Amino acid sequence: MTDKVITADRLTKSFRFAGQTVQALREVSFHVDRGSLTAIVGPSGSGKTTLVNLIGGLDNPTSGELWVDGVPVHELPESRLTDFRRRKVGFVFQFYNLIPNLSAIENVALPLEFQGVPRTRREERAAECLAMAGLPAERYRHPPGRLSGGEQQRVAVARALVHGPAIVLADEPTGNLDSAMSATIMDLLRALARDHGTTVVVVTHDHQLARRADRTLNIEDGKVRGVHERRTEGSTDCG
Amino acid sequence: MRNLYRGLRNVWRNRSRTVIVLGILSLAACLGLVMLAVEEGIGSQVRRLEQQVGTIIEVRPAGAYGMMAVTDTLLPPSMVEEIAAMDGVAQVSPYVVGRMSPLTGLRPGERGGRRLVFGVAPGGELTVMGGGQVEVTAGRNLEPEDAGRAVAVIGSRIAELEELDLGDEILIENRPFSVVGIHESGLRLAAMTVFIPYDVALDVFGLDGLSQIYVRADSIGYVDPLREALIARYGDTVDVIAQKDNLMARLEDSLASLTSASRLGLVLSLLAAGVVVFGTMFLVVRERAREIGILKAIGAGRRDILLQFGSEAVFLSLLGAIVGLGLFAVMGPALASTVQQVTAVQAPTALPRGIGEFGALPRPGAVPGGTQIFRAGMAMAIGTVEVTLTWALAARAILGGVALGLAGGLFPSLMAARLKPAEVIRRD
Ligand SMILES: Nc1ncnc2c1ncn2[C@@H]1O[C@H](COP(=O)(O)OP(=O)(O)OP(=O)(O)O)[C@@H](O)[C@H]1O
Ligand SMILES: [Mg+2]
Repeated sequence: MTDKVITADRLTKSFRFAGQTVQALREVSFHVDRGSLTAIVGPSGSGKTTLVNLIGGLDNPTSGELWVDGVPVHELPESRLTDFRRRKVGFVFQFYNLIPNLSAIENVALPLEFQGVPRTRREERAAECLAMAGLPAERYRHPPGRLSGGEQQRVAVARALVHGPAIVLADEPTGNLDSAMSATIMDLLRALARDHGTTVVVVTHDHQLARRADRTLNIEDGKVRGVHERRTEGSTDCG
Repeated sequence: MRNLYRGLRNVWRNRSRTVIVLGILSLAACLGLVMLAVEEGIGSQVRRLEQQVGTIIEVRPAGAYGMMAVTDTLLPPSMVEEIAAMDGVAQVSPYVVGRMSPLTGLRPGERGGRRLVFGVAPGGELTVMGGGQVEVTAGRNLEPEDAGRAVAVIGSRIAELEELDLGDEILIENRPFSVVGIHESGLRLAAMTVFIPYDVALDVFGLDGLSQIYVRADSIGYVDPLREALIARYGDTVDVIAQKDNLMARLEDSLASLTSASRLGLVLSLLAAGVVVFGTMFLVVRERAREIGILKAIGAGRRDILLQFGSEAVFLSLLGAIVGLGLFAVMGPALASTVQQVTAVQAPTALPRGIGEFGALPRPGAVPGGTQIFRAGMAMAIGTVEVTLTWALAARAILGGVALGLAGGLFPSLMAARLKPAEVIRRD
């Protein structure tokens, strides 16, 4: 069953800064299957972050259409975007970005707080996700500052999936980790996609890591240069 | 709820900054409370005074301008008995004013003409000009049995100048009076007065009437009917003035500088605290812009951010108010008396006690130095307001703290709520 959870149609994003217009994305079109792990690769400044920000509803496209899990994200005003992020999206960032004065488990429970889930249910679910992400139980109550980079990123992954989002977006989640840890996090994300039917999109510079994805989207200069399917080992131009 | 809780916890994110900010806020709160307490204390003193003095009705010969004015018309002594029989009258105090011949041995500037003799009802409190009470420090006060007797209570300055002691004799209009008491008062004018029984005074000065009568009503409710009754009875021969009618205006006049200074202080300390809350929250929001972006990315709405930062501002300001209350409890009284000293009405250093407890306050301008005496009387009657930490004050501090947090934190919190997540997450 090829259910398309993300569909982008001639998606364009330009920034105006100091009187100049920067075209970060130029008419990008692609789709992502539900439950797949997609890697986005490309040189620095090619528009990868811009793309995941649009998919995650952190920013509005300049033009084009973007559908995520049946929601026309390109049309949503700010108030509806909040609701969209809250229910449909999980984020993992390069620098973990945990809240420093909250414990690991409180960080993971945050998205549930914003959904208004009751306290006991939140804690249960957060502990479940931390276990899934592989954080030792005795560290649940520790603040992020006491955890290693790898442990922090496990917490961040747990936080991204705690509310059962349709898609998890990870912008260079392994950018700060050594290769062994990077592989572990990548495997974690892949297991997530495989076992829970969550769609995962990962931005990475590391082609070794990208190879673990089902599909690789190659972006250059704001355009999709190629899509690499792991199963078929084929490459199609799409741009 | 959780947003508020996070706000509360975030107050302690940057401990050293919070401590410094709390120090400033609590000082401002403490100062504000001092100003508030001083103003309130004055207000309640004024009301108390009004209750006391407000029951006084002054009866004087028609057209006489103040009791010091020497008029030909006097009040018939029989009025004392008549008025005492009227409804709602608590006390009647007749006054006869006479002057003694000038003294020798005066200091430069000390005018003999001011040596006044007051004929008063023996047994009552001794008050100068119906205003400042004096204290008998040696011997005794006049007593009811002294009616008709040539006895005198003399001011300490007269005793000093004429080298008089208890039991000595003093000449008033060439009649010897036995000194039974010496009274003391810091006011030079009062120290130059002599009190004798009023019936004797009438005789000695050859007067056929009283200079003035002070009537005290049983309560403030009797004042208006009593005034009407007095006017109805004595008509055009007397002026009847109820003290309560012009007391407040005069009080407020002489306290204006203190009140306006404390208001200004209150406003300034509130303003300073507001700026500190605003500045701190502004910095906090800039500092945590990225974190706000992350919170929004993981599902926080504008409302969540607004509540979190709003509550942080309110908690900070509230904490400042609470610590300020503590400071106030410790150093409020000392600060309050300093404030009052700095802004107090200009008054002679030592003053007669108990002005306003009975008798009228002299009208400014009626006599030389009248204004000064009046202001001195006011300052003394109001005294130094004692400030204490009351529940009402604490409640105001708490409410003020919350309001200030809301006001100072509003703009920074709105700013936080409006941050665009994609932009702030990008910033490193
Ligand atoms: N808010 C902005 N204002 C102006 N220009 C921007 C803004 N955001 C992104 N850009 C520009 O858009 C282009 C794409 O940026 P983007 O961050 O998406 O690249 P990237 O592929 O994620 O790069 P990297 O691999 O270095 O993270 C860059 O040229 C960048 O300078
Ligand atoms: Mg990027």
